[in-house]
Amino acid sequence: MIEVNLLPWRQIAAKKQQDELKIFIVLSIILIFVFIMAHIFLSQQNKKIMAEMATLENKLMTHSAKTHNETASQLDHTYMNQAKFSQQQFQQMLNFLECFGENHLTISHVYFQANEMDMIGQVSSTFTVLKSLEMCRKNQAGFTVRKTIFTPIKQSDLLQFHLVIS
Amino acid sequence: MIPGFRMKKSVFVGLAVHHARLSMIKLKQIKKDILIEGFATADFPAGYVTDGEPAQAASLSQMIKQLVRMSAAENCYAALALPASQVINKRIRVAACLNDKEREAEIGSNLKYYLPGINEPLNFDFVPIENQGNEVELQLIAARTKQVETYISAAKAAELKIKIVDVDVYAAARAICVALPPNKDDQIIVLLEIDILTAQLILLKNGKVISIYPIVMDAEDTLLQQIKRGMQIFSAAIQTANIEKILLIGHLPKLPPLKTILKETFAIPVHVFDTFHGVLLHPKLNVEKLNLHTSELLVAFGLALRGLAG
Repeated sequence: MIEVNLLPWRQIAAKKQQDELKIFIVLSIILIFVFIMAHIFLSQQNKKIMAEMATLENKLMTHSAKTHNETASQLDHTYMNQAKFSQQQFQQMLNFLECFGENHLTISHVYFQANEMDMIGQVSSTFTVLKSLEMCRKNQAGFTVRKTIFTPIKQSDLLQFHLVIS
Repeated sequence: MIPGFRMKKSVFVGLAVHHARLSMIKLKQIKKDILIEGFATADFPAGYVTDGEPAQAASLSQMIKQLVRMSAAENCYAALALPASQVINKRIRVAACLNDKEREAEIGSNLKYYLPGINEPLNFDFVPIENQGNEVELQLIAARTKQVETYISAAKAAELKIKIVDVDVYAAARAICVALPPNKDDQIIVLLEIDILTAQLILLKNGKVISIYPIVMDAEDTLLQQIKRGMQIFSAAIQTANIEKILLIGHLPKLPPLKTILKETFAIPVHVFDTFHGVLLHPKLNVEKLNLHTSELLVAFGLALRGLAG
């Protein structure tokens, strides 16, 4: 069947196709532009976030270092205090020993252990020890008696005493 | 719209321009069915068309507007047909290696050579007929641009969107194929289209237009003599094959005697095209009026069908 069209349909179709191609190209350009803009925007956002992360990391590192230093300093301070305390305690113990030793006692062993002092010695009577402790307390030797044990020594009139003082 | 993707139109109008009248039909495609939604015909006043052109473009527009209103076809896409006698039909040969665009350029630049003596601008189209070695035979159809534009402007003013400008004989052949599908292969029929002042014989083989024989009603020869001459020419063209029937179409108010005369003269069945077979009718249509004008609406029907086919 013959189908003719006396309108310039080929030119119209070609023009339409050309217009469609133009629209397609323009839309493609717009799409590419949008993609590029989105890429740039996202890259910038990424960079910004990375920079923020780096800053935060630096801050964190500085903070960690500072905290570490502070902790170290605190520890040093504690050790110093402890050292100071031990020295003080040691001084007190020596004072106690000086005071205690003046009262006709024989001290055979002295042990320092965790702020405590174990003292073992021999004495003629419990009274002497108690009197000495009383005297030393009066002299402000600054101690506390934790434990007092007296044990008779075989074949002798003497007693062995064991004091725990802190 | 995406290239290669075209929406088919579901409503299309056929507007046929005859020598002395206009006919219009509005079709709607509903799935595989075709529905006639409206139709209208109008005769040109006497002497209105001279040399294929209407005397006044404004009054032509008014006539088309009236038809559009009667068919309720405002703002519809439409196909328009010019009478075959007002277009130039010629077979030409071009190099077979040319593509469609190159053929168009070739014909456009050599139009004066193909159609000597015509100096006016022409609108043309072509369809390939036969490949002959290095050449291809084309059917060249041309019409004067001024004439085409006159009708398009008038249709546009009447709120129709013309998408196709066809030729009446091709539209009639298309309509016959749909309304009266051929009952066998190589069916040969002759259409006798009668207008108020003119007529034409159209030889159809398998729905293809083989030959056209124009008849002028006011010539010295009688109508029957001219029909006889045309039939002789057609018989020579088809050689041994037989013409199965003659189908009368067009403006046929006084035809019953002619039908009998033709039947007796040629001993061939003669029918009047009076029914659109397999076509649905809108409930609001005046069926009696449609039956009266069926033969006049055949060309318009063929045009609208082409539009629906996309």
